Order: sequence, then structure tokens, then C-alpha cells
Amino acid sequence: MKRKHIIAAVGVLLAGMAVFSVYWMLRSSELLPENNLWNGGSQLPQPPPGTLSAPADDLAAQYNIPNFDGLMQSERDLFSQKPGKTVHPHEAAEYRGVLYTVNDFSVSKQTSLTSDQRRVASGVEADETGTLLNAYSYFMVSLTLENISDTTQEVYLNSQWIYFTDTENNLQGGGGEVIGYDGKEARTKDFYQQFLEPGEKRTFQVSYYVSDEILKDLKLATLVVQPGDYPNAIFLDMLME
Amino acid sequence: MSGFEGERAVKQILKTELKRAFTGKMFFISIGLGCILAILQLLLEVTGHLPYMANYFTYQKPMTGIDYFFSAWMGGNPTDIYGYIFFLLLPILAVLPYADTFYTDMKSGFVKNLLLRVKRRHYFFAKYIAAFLAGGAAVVIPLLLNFLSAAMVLPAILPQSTSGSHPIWITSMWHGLYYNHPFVYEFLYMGLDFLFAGIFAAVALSVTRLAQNRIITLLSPFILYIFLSAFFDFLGQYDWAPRAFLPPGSGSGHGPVVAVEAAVGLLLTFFVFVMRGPKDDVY
Repeated sequence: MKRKHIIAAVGVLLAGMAVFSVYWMLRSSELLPENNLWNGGSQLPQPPPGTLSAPADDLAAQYNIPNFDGLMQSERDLFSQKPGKTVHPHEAAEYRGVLYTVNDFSVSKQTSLTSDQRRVASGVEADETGTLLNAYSYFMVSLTLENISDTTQEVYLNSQWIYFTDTENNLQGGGGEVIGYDGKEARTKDFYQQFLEPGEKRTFQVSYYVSDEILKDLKLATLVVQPGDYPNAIFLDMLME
Repeated sequence: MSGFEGERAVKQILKTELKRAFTGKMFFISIGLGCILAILQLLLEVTGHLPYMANYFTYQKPMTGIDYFFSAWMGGNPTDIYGYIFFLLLPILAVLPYADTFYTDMKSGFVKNLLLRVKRRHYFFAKYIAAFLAGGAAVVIPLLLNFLSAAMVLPAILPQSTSGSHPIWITSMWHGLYYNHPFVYEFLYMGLDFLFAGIFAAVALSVTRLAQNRIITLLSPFILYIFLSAFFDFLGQYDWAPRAFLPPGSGSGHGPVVAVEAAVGLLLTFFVFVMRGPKDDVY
């Protein structure tokens, strides 16, 4: 085969490869997503209708949950549907072999937690004893955990988040992360880890921060155990007096 | 020529080719381009993690994951724009240093003078080795620069799968190494990048042998690279494309597939250039 024929063959082969590549990338929108930065759209793929996230706007309107309130989409969805079991104080709900019961709850500027048992969050001011000095309070929950399974259960007390709902049924802010509890003395990496033997029952005082602004119109506080585990998460509702 | 003289001749031409490859202007230009991306990534992306570090110390949250380092450097984060550009241009960075010199040697007549003193197969072998090593080095040196300088900024805390900062899954190649011996993982991956960059340089050499055209030489590995991505995506196996598995933080890659592709690349280019090349008329 003559040299120029070989060159032509290689050139055609490479051109064919290039054309196929461009065609395939255009077809699968790899070169430029349909919604992109230039046309002001989001690059995130939209879920198909009927999935958990899709009808969120409708659900938000139906349940009077505002869209731009600092909540994540998944949190709005979770509360719109409340797929798991919902219980009230002194009622127990099971999550993976462990019964969760809220015995009591209270709000205070003071805490019995030592400085090693609680953490300071951004924007919160406290004195040495932990008494809060600015517009925040402690939301303290007495929580009982009981292992009803046949095996030892590993539980993380920071795996439940607290959500606040006002008198107009609006969720206020994102989920609140636990800031401490009265179990272990030092905040090591395993601070929130607990092992419950079969049949074992233990009670903890678990604390969260709540802003005084939210407290003014607070109707309901909900402790959600494993909010990321849809649809198994359980809801421990605490109605304010 | 005795065996000893033959060996000495190979060493001599190899030494010459390596010297040309590693001191050439294009080698430094290629490394320079890679290093610009590496430094930009360090300044604009890696340092972006520092506020989180400050947050960690300020709010005393010892259970917070600050194991960013292995997923923050240029090769560790598949969504990083600088890493994306670097790995997209990988074949070009690999080809620039030396892979087109077979063409320029022929075009300038340099090869005529050289082959008066050196056996053809020795010349082709040395050219292959030099292009392979220079291509690999041009890709790995910027990666190393970025990796080591990121290590001066962020603590190399052992990655924890539960922190959610890492794109390496249970299905990812060498995931056990990543979570237990991350340095070994990263350096092995850099070795893999070196190997594939070398193969791309060798592809350019082989294409030059078939089609003596500089544009085709320089672009062919890049076109092949993109084509493989599109082709494997077409087959529903995008993870098999080098474009998918070469970034260390891609979480893609399947050992047997990578091994087969590397073996095919090495054997094919070696056969086309080193075995068949000496039979060509290069005058």
C-alpha cells in the first residue's frame, strides 16, 4: 500500500473516531448539560415525577412549608410525608431493634452538662458554667433507649436531629445537631457511641440549641431518629404546652 | 557486532535519546502547563479547606471528619475543575515532550546521520523508551508537585469512609489500600498514570510510523482517549475508559480491565513501533 494511502486511512480512522466521540457526547449532553451556567439553569439533574423530591413544591405549599427557610429539600420532603412512625412523650418507637422514648423535655438557659460534655456552636455565647448569655437556650430531652433485640446494639446519640415547627406549621431552620449529653465525660471521637446489651435500658439527657426567636412561636419540637434513613426514620414529637 | 558491543550501542543511543527527551524545550513546556494547573488547584481549591480546619479547632468537634487531604488534591477529587482539565489533557501533556521527535528526526534528516552509526532496531527501541518515560514523567511531575504541596497545607489524616468526603467506594479499585494505606494508593495510582501517559506517547510514535504527519501524531492519542470514553460509554461501561479511571480519586477502574488495556497498549505499540518500525524506509 502506498504511503499516502496509509496516511489517508489513518486520517479517516481518526476523523471517524473524533466524529463518533463528538456525536456521542452531544447525544448524552456531556459537552454541555441542557441546563447550564450560561443559560442560568442548574446543572443538577431533575428527579423524575413521582419521586420523593419531585413534588416538594406542591407538598411545601400543601403543608405550608416555606421553600427558602434554610431547610434542605430532603428535610422538607421528610417532614411533608413523615414516612416513619410518629410518637409522643412516653410512647416508644422502634428503630432497628432499639426502642426510643422521650420521657420529658425542657428549655433553659442553664445546663448541668460540664464543659467537656457540650460543645459551643457558632454564634452562641456562654459563661464558664455553660449558662447561655445571648439569644439561645438549651432544649433538653430526656431520652430512654431500650435494646429489644437479641444482639448488642451500637447506637450513636448524635444520629437524631431536632426540628422545630411554629404555630403556623412552618418548619423553622434546618435540623439541629445534638450539642452534648450526660453520658461520657470527655469529648473523644466515640463520645456519642453507646453499646446496649440485649434487654438493656438507659436514659440520657440529650441537649440541643434553640434560638429564642424560634421559641417565641414554638408549637412542636420533633426529634427525628436517623433523618437520612428514609422511610425508616422515626419521629418523636414534643408538643409545647 | 558482538553481544557486548550491541549492548553498549543500545546504552549509548538510549542515553542520547533520554538526554534529548528530558532536556528538550517541549518537555519543560509540557511540565510547565501541568504545573500551572497544579499550582492553581493548590491556591484556589486546596486552601479552600482551611476555614473548615479552623472551624474544627474553634468549635472543638473532635468527631468531625477533617480527612480532606486525600480527596482535596488535584488527583483526589473528580469534580475539581483543575483536575478535570489536567486529566482531560493528559494525552497531550504526554505527547508534547518527545513523541513527535520521530517525525522531526525524519523530516530534518537527523535520522539519516544517526542510522549511519546506530542499528535501526536500537534506534527505534531507544526512541520508544525515551518517549514513554518523558511522557510519563511530564504527567506525573505536576501531580507530585500538587500532592506534596497540598500535604504541606492539609494534615494527611487517614481517610474515613464514614466522613463522606471520599469518592472511593467498596467497588472501587484498591479501595482497601485507600482507606488503610492511602499514600501507597496514591503513589500506585501515579504509577498507573505514568504507565498510561507513556502508552499514549507510544501511541503517537506508532501513529507517526504509519502516517507521517505532525498534527496527526500530536492529536491521535487525544482523539483515541476521547473516543475510548465515548465508545465505552456507548457500551454502558464508561468506567472502563482511561478518561474515567486515571484520576486517583475517580473511584472507577476495575483491575482486570485496567491490566488488559495497559497490556494491549504496551504490546500493540511495541509491536507496531519497535518490532515493525525498523523494517520501514525512513529516508
